[in-house]
Parts: sequence; structure tokens; C-alpha cells
Amino acid sequence: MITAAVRAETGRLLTLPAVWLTAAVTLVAAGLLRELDHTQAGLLVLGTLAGTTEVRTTLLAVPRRGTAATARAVAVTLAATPVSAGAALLADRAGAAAYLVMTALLATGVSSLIRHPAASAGLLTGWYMIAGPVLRALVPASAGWLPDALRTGPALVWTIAVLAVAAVVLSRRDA
Amino acid sequence: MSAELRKLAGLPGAWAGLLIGLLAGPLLVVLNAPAVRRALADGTVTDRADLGLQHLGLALIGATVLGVVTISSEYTRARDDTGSRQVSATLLATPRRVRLLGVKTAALVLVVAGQGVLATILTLAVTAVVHGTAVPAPGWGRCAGAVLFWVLTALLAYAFTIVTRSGIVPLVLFLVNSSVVSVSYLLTKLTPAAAYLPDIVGAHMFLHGMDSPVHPPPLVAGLIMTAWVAVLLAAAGTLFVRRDA
Repeated sequence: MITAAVRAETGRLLTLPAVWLTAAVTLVAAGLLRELDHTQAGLLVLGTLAGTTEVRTTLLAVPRRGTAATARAVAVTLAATPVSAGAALLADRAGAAAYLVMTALLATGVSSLIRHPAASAGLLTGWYMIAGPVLRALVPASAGWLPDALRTGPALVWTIAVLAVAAVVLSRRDA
Repeated sequence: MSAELRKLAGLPGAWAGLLIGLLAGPLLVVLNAPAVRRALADGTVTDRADLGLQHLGLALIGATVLGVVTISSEYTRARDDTGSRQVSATLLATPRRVRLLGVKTAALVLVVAGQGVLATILTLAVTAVVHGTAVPAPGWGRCAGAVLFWVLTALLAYAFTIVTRSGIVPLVLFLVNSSVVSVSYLLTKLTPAAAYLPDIVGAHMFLHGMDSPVHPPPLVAGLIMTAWVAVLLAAAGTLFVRRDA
């Protein structure tokens, strides 16, 4: 059951043209800019695409919502890993690959809660690119607590929390 | 025209954009006040009149959001099972596409120009309260340049969204680029030609002490940015007229 759902969800992600386009743009940006502060936006978009597109069709095919949520998280991990590893290597920060995968997963959770692709992408990018850095400039200690500072620890905690909330909401709420 | 204005007023995203644009500038002036005071004390500031207007940079996101949602709302699929899009109804009511686009553009310019003027006044007023005479008020010409930059940025996002027909791409692109260190700015370190990208060159209309490989006079800067917007709008308009809706 779960393996079939994972295979279906991975197939769905890998056949979305927008996913390939996002992956390509992310890698080019990482190679050109050689940094991850801006490049991580690509993973946010990847997660948003997974979290907001074709939700109804997915639930029609996989009505068990817990299974659907788990399959989605696994599929995003599978799809985001090569992009994250590539971007991290290009930016000379191989250690940040896991952080980038978590960023994509976090975006999947947040966007599936918001359920509107442009609003989710706007909110997430706005947070990661603008609100977060401004906050860090004012309160440097915030980097240790928020998920957007290229640190694996806080990102892991936030990602697990957001995915759990998203899974509960997905199983309770009308689609 | 009033139909387009009312459609814009019915969008939650447009209101979000309007508020961000109006409030981000003044808020940033207050938050950034200690850093500005330090810079003034260090004497590293090349042009003191820049300090008020430079806080408009982040508030521009508001104008960008307005430009994006004006178009992306037409292409968002309805959440009911019909999956219909606003653009079908719009084109049924106004089949002449050139005219429709003209009216839409006019509605956007009207709203964004009003927003730009208000945001500039608010930001400068808060700057005057926070810093007093330490930061002189910029002249009328520079304020007008800032408002023009504001309107042109919204039109840039608008033209871009007409091409992509989805809000995600332009929104992410422009948000990433309005990040604390913009991508365009990083690109100027790779190649000096990037200094002619619209957002960098346009800022010379109202900021004088920018770190940039070229320093065109405000009028030239305005013309270059206007040319960018005109070309993009023309391309987007052609696509909109020729392409299946």
C-alpha cells in the first residue's frame, strides 16, 4: 500500500514540468552565485509544488490521508535529495545538503496548510529572504531558533513539527 | 476600468500587497535606526539624503505583489470542481484584448502610483521624526524618481506574470531579488553589465551613493528602466493578444 503510494507520488512529482524547471534553475543559481542564502528558494518552490498541486486527484487515488501524507513526504525527500546535494556541492557547502532537503519538506507542510500555491510561495520566500534576515540582523540569537538560517538542528525540529501538523490537518479537514 | 479596479479591490492578495507596501518602509526606518545612527557617526555614508529613501527598497515587495496578483488572479483555478478561471469571464465581458490589457494596466498604475506616493511620504515623515535633521529630506526630483521606480517595478512584475500566467514564478523571483542582498547586486560582482538590470539601474533615479560599477544620471537611469519595462510589456502584450487564453 505505502510503497505503491510512494511510487505514485514520486511519479507524479517527476512528471511535473515545473519541478524539473525549478531543479534546473536552482542548480544554475547555485553554480552562478556559489551560495545558498538565495538558492534555497528553489527548494521552497519544490516543496510548494508538491504540497499544493493536484491534491484532490491524489486523495481520489489514495483516500487514506495518513498514507497520502507519508507518501508525499517520502517522495519530496527522494526528489529534493539530488537537487539539494547538487546545490550544496556547487556552493561549496556539502554539509548543508540535509538542511536543504528539510527546507523542501518544510515548504511542503506549510503550503499544504495554506493550500494556495502563490500565497504559500510568497509567504515562504518572503520569510526566508526578507523577514528572517532582517530579524537576524536585529536579534542575532534568532538564528538558533528559526528554520531559515542554514542550520540543520532548528530546521529539523521545525520540519518535523510542521509535517506532523500538516498530516493531522490533512486527515481532519475537508479537502 | 471601474470593473478592473473593483476586481483588484476584491483580492485579498492585493490588500496584502497594499499594506506591505505602505507599512514596510516606515517600519524599517524605525527598526534600522540604530544601524543608520552608527553609519552616520562613522562617517561612512556618502549621501545622507539617501538614508530616508533607501528604506523604500524592501517596501517595493508591496508593489510587486500588486503587479503579480493583478494577473495571476485571472489564471487561478476556482476551488470548486469546475476548475474555471476568472480570465474566461473577463474575456467574455471584454473580448478586445488590447483594450482589456490597456485598462488593466491603467488600473494597476493608478493604484500603485497612489501607493508609491503615500509610501514615500510616510517613510520620509517617519525618517524625519526618528532622525530629525541628521538625515536631510531629499529633493522633489528624487522623490518623484522613487515613485516612478515604484510604478515601474510593479509593471515589471505585471508584465512578467502575463508571460508566466502563474503567480509563483514572478513572486519568488522578485522576492528573492528584494532580499537583503539582492541577486542583481551579486551579479554585478560577476559582470559589470548586470548593473544595467532594471532594478539596479532604476535605483539611480533616487539613490546617489549606491555601490555600483556605473553611475548614470537619474534621467538616463529612468529612461533605461522605462525601456526595459516597455520592451517587456510589449512582449507580454503580444503574447496575451496572440495566445489562447
